[in-house]
Amino acid sequence: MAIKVVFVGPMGAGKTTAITAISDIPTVKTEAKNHDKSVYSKATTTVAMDYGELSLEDGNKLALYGIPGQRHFSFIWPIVAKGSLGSILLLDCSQSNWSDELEYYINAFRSHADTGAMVIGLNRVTDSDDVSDTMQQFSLNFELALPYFFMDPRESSDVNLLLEALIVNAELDLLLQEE
Amino acid sequence: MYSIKSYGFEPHEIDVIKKQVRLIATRTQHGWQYTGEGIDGDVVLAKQHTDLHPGSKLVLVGEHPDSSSELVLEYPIRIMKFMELLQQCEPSAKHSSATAVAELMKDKSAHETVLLCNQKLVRFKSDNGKVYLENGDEHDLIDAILKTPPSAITEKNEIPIKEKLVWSSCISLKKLLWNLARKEIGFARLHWSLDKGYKLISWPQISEWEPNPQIFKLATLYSKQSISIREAAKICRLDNEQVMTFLHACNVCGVSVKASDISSSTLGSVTELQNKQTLVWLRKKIQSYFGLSHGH
Repeated sequence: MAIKVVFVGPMGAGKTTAITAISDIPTVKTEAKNHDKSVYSKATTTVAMDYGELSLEDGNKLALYGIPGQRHFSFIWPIVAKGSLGSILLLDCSQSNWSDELEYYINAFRSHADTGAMVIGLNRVTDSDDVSDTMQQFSLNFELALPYFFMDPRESSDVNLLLEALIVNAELDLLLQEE
Repeated sequence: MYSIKSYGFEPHEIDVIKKQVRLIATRTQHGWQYTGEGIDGDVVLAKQHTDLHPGSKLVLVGEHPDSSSELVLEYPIRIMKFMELLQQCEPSAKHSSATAVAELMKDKSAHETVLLCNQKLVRFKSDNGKVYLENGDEHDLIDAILKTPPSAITEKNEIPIKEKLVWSSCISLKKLLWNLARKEIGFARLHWSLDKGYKLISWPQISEWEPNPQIFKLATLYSKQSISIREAAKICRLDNEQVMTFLHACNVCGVSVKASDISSSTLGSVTELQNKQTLVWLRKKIQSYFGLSHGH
């Protein structure tokens, strides 16, 4: 049975890069010219979704979906996320509004956040103490102790650590169900 | 873990003390460890009155020890007497090396404090949250602090340093606190209840502090739901003590732990998966990456 993981987060957070870093196949991208440079000043952005795959030894595949980060595509997010193992939320901490984005995406993928099936990858962190304090305050306010890691989406080991967190959560779900 | 040192004993006598401490260690409320000859253990066994490191307790040992002393042991040491004495002089439960260091570093306006820990100079620099050792690596630094009585880790014992020293290793405060607390089995045993439910309020930075798959699993479990130490140990295949020191370490590192009623977990969509084996294959695929990046 095929399983999937969704990469979520705002435009420019590194979703396409992260999928490309671990995918066994060339990432299927839907990049188009970015006309919304007020949000993020990069040349292109994903307009439909990204797709990558991890091939498992038993012949199954883990599908890696990257959602389009622009909020006007939010109608498509629950459709992509349905039936997934969980979501990997990527955030660019060099953006001043990253903590607002954190709150927005957690609310958008609340069913994953509430079951621990969400892990947060924090990209471009310059002051880890400051970011940790913000994350801790957020956890206290929202009563959500979601795993978060400082990472670089270009590094496959960093992206796999996020994936590992989702696998551990899924394994625990199975163990707790057996209890 | 609390330390016992001897002072002025012959090698064959030290061998006997070591063996006796090993036997006693598991039978007392706190963990005890023999850490060699010296004057800076939590307890120092000595044949005569000696000036000790602040915070250390002197136990006079001899065939006819001075009975006016508070703590005495007849030589040869009888194991039951030794155990009774350790119970009697077990340090106050409110002290642990980790909490003592946290307390020392709390005042961020203080620039630095240099202390003598197990014969090594350690520099606690609170403005940048780093701790330095004069000579040795990260492990030596942790070891030096662990072998110092918690009560001696205080600004009062500051060593004035006039010349400029070269510090050979450095560790972040949080990583140091984590490593100290994970070894304080005796302290953790006193403060955490086996059957009470606990839940983490925020995520501990274990990928930096202790990148270990079992601890990763434990952190994920405690982030998901309130669960007892006994149950968590069973699920994660760890000892109860390891779970206790994990919670103690979280607490010391500022990751709040909430005591609450044990709750049932909110299970995710993975339970709908027909083939559980797929997760095993997925882990196999990922673990190779985890191994590369985290040395397991």
